[in-house]
Amino acid sequence: VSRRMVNLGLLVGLVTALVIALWPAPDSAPSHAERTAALADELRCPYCSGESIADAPSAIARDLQDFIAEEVARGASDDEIIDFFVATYGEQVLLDPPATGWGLWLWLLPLLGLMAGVVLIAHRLRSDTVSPPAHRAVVAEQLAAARSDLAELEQQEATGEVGPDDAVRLRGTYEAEVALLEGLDPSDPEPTDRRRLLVGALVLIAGVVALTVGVAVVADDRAPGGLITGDTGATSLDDVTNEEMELVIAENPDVLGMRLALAGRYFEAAEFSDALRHYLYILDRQDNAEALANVGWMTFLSGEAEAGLRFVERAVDVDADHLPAYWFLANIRFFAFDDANGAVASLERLLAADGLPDDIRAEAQSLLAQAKAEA
Amino acid sequence: MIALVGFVAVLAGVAGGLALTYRGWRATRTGDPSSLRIPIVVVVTAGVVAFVSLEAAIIGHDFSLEYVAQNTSRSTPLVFLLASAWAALEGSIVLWGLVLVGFVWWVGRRVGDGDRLGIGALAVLGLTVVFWFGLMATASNPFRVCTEAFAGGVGCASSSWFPLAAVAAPLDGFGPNPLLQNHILMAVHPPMLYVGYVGLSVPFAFAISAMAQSLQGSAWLERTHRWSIVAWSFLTLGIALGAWWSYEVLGWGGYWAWDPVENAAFLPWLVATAFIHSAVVQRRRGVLQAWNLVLVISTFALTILGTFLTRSGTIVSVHSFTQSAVGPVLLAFLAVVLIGSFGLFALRAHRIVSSPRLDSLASREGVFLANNLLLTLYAFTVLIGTMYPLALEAFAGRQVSVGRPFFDRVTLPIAFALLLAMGVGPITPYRVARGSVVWRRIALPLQVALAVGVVAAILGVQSVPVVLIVVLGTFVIATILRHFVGQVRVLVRRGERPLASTTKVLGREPGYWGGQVSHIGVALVAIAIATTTALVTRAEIQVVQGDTVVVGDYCVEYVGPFSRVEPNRAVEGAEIALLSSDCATEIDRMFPRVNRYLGSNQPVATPDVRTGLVDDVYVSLNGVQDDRLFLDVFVFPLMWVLWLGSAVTVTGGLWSYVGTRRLRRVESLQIREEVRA
Repeated sequence: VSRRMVNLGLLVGLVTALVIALWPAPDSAPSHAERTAALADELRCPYCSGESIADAPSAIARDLQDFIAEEVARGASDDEIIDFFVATYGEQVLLDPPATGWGLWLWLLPLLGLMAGVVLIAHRLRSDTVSPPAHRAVVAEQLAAARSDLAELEQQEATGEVGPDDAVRLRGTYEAEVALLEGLDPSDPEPTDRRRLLVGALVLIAGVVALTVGVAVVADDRAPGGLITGDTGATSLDDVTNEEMELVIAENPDVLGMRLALAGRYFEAAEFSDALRHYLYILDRQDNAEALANVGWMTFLSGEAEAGLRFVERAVDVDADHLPAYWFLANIRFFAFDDANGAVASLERLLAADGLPDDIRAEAQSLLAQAKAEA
Repeated sequence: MIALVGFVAVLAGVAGGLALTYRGWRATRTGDPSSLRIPIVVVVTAGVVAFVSLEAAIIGHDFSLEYVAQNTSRSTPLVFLLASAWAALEGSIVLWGLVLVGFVWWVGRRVGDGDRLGIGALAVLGLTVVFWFGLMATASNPFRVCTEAFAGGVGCASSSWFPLAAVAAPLDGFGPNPLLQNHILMAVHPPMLYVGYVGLSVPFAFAISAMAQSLQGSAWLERTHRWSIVAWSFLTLGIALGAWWSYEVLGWGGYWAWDPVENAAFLPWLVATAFIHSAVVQRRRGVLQAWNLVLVISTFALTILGTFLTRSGTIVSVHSFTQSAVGPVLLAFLAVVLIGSFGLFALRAHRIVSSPRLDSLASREGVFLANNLLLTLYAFTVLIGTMYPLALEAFAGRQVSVGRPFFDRVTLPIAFALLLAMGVGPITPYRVARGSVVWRRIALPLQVALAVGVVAAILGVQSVPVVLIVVLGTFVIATILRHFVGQVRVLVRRGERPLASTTKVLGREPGYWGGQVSHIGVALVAIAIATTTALVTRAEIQVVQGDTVVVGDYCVEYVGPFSRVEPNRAVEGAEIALLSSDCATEIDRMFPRVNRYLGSNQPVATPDVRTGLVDDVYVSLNGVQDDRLFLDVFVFPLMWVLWLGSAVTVTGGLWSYVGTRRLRRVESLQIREEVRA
C-alpha cells in the first residue's frame, strides 16, 4: 500500500510541476511578427497552388505577406485584415472556413461520425450474439478458439492478470461454448446461388460502362473551371477578368506582379492608354524589362521612334533574356532607322534563344532574310 | 515496332484478366486451380512485356511514341530516363499493372487444390487486371504513336492509338516535368506507394471471394493478414519518402501540407492501420468480423479514390502535375467498387459472419475498439476536409478552401487520444483488465513521461500541445520498454542469458513486438511533428552580398552568387555562410539554388539543408531581384527524429512479417518431425 501511495504522490507532484512550468507568462500578447506569421498561415495565397501565403514560394505570396506585415504595423486588427482578404479575393482565401452556414457541416459531420461510432459500439455490446448456420470448417475453427481461450485464461489467472472472480465467470462462459459447439451437428456449406451473382456482376459491369460514358459526356459539357475538368479558376490568372484585376490592384497597389499581368493584357489588346498607365506605375518603382520594352514599343508606334528605341535598349540592359525586346529592337532599327546591321544583330540574338514560339521564329527568320539582303 | 509490342501486351493483359476471371469463376465449383495457370502466365508476361517495352522505348530515345516525346528528352540523365517510365500518368498505370501482376503471380503460387477461397480471390484480382489494363488500352494509353511532330522537331503534336499508323517521330522530346527530374527520390517514392496501394487489393480480393462464395470463418483474414502488413509497411515507406522528398527538394520548407494529394495517400494508410489492428482482434478473439470486411472494402475504395484525386486533376494542389482525362473512368470504377462490394456485404455478410460478444469493454479488445473508432474518425475527418471543397463546388457552386489550419486543429485531439490508447492498449490484458494490473504496468512510464515533460518545459518549451505530445509520446515508448524489460527479466530469472532472452522475447511473438517497434516509431514521429511545426523558427529575409542576418540561434551571411550549366539544366544559386548567433564563427557553407530545365520556364528551387543533432537549418532561395536575394530560412528542431521514427515504423512492420514467416516455418518443421516420429 505504501508503495502505491509513493507512486501516486510522485505522479501528483509531477503533474503539479508540469502545470507550474507551463503556466502562461503574464505578458503574452503576440508580437507583430507572430501575428503576421499566424495570419499568413490562415490565408490561402490566391494565385498559388492551394498553399497558404506563408508556405507558397512565390513573389505574389511574398508581396501579400509584406502587405499583411504593413497592415499589422499600421494597427489593423486580425479580423480587419481577414475581412479585407475575404472582400478582395472571396471566401476561398480562408484555409479554415468559419463554422457558419455551409461551413458548419465541416465540423458537424465528424462529430456525427463520432456519435454514430459510439452508438454502433453501444448497440453491439448490448445485442445478443448472432451466428449463421455453422459450417463444418467454422465449427472446428470456433472450437479451437474456445479451447485456446480456456488455456490462455488459465495462464492469465496464474500470472495474476485476471482476478479469480473474473476467471470463474469467463471459464464458465468458455466451457459452455465448448459444450455447445461439441454438441452441434455441423453442415457443409450450401452451394451459393451462382446465377444471381453472375447477373449481379453483369449488371454492375453494364453500370461501369454506362456511368463512364455518362460522366465523360457530362464532364465534356462542363465549362473549363468546372469540377471534373479541373483547374478551379482561382489558381490561374486567365480566368480573372480585367475588371476584377483592376479591383485587386486598386486594393493592393504595390502587388506589381498582377499589375504587370494586367498591363500585358491591355498591351496585347492594343488598349495602349490603359497599358501605359500601369507600366508607368511599375517603372516608378522598379526597372522592369517587360514594362520598359512594351512602353518603348508603344512609344515607337506613337511616332516617337528615338524615345522608343531608348526604352527598349534599357529593357535589354535590365534583362538580357527578355526576348520580345529583341524583336522590338530589330523592327525599330530596321524600319525607323534603316539600320539593317543593328536589326540583324538583334534578330540573331533572338533566334539563338531556346523556347521561341514557332510563329515568332518564322517571322523573325523572314525579317532576318530581308535585313541581310539590305545590309 | 515497340509500340506494337507494348500495345499487344496490353491487349493480352486484358484478355488474360478476362480468362483469369472466367476460369476462376468456373474453378470455384471444382476447387481445381490448374486451369488458372495459363491465364496467370499470360497476365504476368503481359505486365512485364508492357513495362519493359516502355522502358526500352524511353532508354532508346524512340520518340515515335507520344509518351516518350512528351516526357523525356535526349539530355535527360539515365536515372531520370528510367524513372520517366512512371513519372507521368500513362506510364504510372503501366507500373501499377506490373505491381499488380506481380501480386497475381504471388497469390497464384499459394493457391492449392481445393482452395476455393484462393481461386475466387484470383478471379477478383483478374477483374482488377481487366480494369487497369483496359485503362492502358483506352483512356491512358502509353503506347500511342506520334503521327505529327511539332514544327521545331521537338515534341509530338498529334498521335494515334493505332500502333501501325504512319509514324512521324520528333527529333527530341520535351523532357520530364522539372519538379520530377530534380531529385533521385522521384525514382523510388511512387513505386513504394504503388506496392502499398496495389498490395491492399489482395486482402480485398480474398474478402470479396469469401463473401461471394459464403465461405464462413476467418480464413480470408488469416491468409491475408501478413499481406496487409507488407502492403502497409510499403505504404508507410512511400508516404515517408514523399515527405522527405518535399522537404529536401521542393523548397517550400515543409514535409506535410495537408495537400489533397497527400491526404489521398494518408487516407488508405489510416484505414489500413485500423484494419491491421482489428484483424488482430478477430484472429485472437473472433470479434469484429463484419467490421473487418467493412474496413478492407473501405481501404481498397480509398486507394481508388486516392488515385482519382491524384490523377484526375480535380483538385488544385502542389501535386497537380498529373492532370488527365482518366478522372471519369476512375470515378466510375470507384462507384462500381463501392456499390458492388457493399452490396455484396449487405447481401452476404450475415451468412459468413458470426459476432460473439465482448467479455468486457475494459480489456485489450476494448482498447482495440477505441483505436478503431479513433482511426476511422481520423480518416473520416480528413476525408470530409479533402472532399468538402469539391462537394460544395459541385452542389452549391461555391468555392472554398480547407487547409492546414483546419486539419491541424481537428486532428490534434484525435492524435492525443490515439497516443493515449497506444500507450495503454498493448499492456492491457485480453478478456478483462483489472485497474490494478494496468496501473502497475503504467505507473513508472507515466512518471518518466511527466518528468520528461517537466524538463522540456523548464528548458523553454512553453507550447502546451507540444509538451502534451512529448509527454504522451514518451509514455508510449516508456511503456513498451518497461514491458519488454519485464519479459526479459522473467527469462533471466529462469537462468537464461540476458542477450539470448532479449532475442527470444522478440522472436517469440514477432507480430506483437513488431507492432510495438512500429508504435515506438509512430511516437517518435508524433514528437518530431510537434517540435518541427510548433517550435520552428521561420524567417523570410532580403540580403545583398556581404549582409548578415540573425535567424534564431544562427546568423546567415550572403557570400556571393554562383551559377553553372549542366546538360539538362541551368543552375543558379547563392553561397551562404552559416555562422554562430553572434555572426563570428563560421559553422558551415550552404548552397541553395534554383534550377531551370530545358524546355520549361518553370524554375525549381532546391533548398540546402544542414542536419544537426539539435535542429536542421534549411535555406531556400525564393527569388533574385538585381543584386538582392530573397531567402527563406527555417530552423526545425529535432527534424531527424521524424525520419528516424518513420524508419522505425517501417522496420516494425517488416519485422512482424519476417518474424511470423520464420515462426511458421519452424512450426511446420516441428509438425513434420512429429508426423515422422
